[in-house]
Amino acid sequence: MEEKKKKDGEGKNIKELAKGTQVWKAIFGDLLFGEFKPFSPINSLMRGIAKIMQLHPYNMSVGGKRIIMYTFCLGGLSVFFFALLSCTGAFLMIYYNPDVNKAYANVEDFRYIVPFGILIRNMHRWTAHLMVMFVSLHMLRVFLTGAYKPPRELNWIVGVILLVLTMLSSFTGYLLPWDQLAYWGVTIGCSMGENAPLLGAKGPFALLESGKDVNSILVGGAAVGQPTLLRFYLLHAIALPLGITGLMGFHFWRIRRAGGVSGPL
Amino acid sequence: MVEEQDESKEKDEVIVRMSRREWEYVKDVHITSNYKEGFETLTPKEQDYTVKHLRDSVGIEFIAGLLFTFIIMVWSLYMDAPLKELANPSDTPLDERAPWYFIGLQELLIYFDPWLAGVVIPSILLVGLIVLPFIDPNKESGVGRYSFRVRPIAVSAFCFGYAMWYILIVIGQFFRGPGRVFYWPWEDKTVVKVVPPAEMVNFHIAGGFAFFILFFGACVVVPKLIFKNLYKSLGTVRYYIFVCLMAIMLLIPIKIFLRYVFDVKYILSLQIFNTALNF
Repeated sequence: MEEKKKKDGEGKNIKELAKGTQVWKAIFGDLLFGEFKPFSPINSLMRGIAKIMQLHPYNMSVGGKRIIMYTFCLGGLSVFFFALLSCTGAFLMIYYNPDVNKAYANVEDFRYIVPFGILIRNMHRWTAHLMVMFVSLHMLRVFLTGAYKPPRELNWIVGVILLVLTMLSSFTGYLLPWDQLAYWGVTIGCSMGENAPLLGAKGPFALLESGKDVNSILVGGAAVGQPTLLRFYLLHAIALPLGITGLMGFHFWRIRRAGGVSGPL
Repeated sequence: MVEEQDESKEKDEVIVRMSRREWEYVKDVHITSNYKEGFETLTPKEQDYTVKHLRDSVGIEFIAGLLFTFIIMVWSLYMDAPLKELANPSDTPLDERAPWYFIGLQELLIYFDPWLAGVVIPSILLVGLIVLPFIDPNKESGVGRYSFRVRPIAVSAFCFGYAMWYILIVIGQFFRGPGRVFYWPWEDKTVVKVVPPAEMVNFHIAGGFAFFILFFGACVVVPKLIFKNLYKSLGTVRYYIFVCLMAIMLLIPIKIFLRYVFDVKYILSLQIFNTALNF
């Protein structure tokens, strides 16, 4: 058996050998990376999508050689932190209930019962701080290098929205442990919405009464309570990550359409 | 920068015409490439200009990510995330504070009414950030490098706002103790400091109006006089948007200064339809 394989493989390198196997064909098939067939409709569709989405590997201008001293990896690290937060967050979701009677006990369990629970919770917390910091530093970098100038204006605006979503993501997560720190921190944050002009109950020219104003959409009542915890949980675990992921994809796509990272060449 | 294929030279060389300034930059960046100095510079063929995106950019970022994973792991092993006692709506802590990235706004609450500090000022901040690419008149200068000299006004204006945001955060996070009272780092924050409430005064209503009219007037006129080209390059509409945003940003340190030095509570206090509008 082995001898036969050796005989077949004579004069071929490993890549060519591997391409002949069934495993290679099953994974890489000829749907995506197969031989170029100019008249195959699926192939041309895939190539069209790949071209629009800029999925092909590409070479960037040589300014990229100093990528460390130019971008300081701030944007890339923000994405990395987002990925890390998604992984650790998914782990925390297994043991967490968004219920005011259980949430605090669940978070205490991370320390005393769940294996590696405290490590994962610490990582989630500290990475969240780092991400907010790095996203804002990334904005500073983009401004200082003039990377918001044409054709990148739209990407700057998407970036500002991403900064806000990152802060909101972190803010909604702040409530979930349901301890004194979380409760009063979020109460302070939400009291801002209460004071919005026209739309807040306590703001100037208030049109809406307390419990029915713009603040109560977020809080789900007059004060922070069970509805708030559930809303913040859903925002934190579903809505905001989905929004961030979508906008991030658009952000990167625009970078590629603009010809890569802004540079002098 | 213009590239052209020169027939007389070897096939894999391209002549790149560039200005003296571009040359100074290129010379600095591409140490590894074989450049020859001169107005007409010889470079290797176009392929050598570029680096592989996955290997040389994403790869570096991936290594940075690994490094930070290590840092976060060690940090998490030695420092626990804070967890205080169970939330109790009837027990307001003395030192209630927002998460650190919103503490700048909480800091503004000391100087402004909540509707200004929590809603109007952050909204103006966001609008300012969003319109920023459209009010910057220099569409090409300074792209792709850190340059203060090319666009001094833009860089200093942005850095002023950015620094103010972080200074407010640092003060709110490290210099405030129970009751949001100012504590020096060497003072014990567990000791509740009793600060006698200061006698605060409001400007007279005429004085308040006069202050705002003079302030915004000065903000419109003074940049025109100092930076001669600013008005011409920005155009009327963009100039007024820029000046208004800058004026609002400057009002924050001015109000803080007035509060601490002259105990001014409100510069302008209005009553419109039974609603108090205090600035």
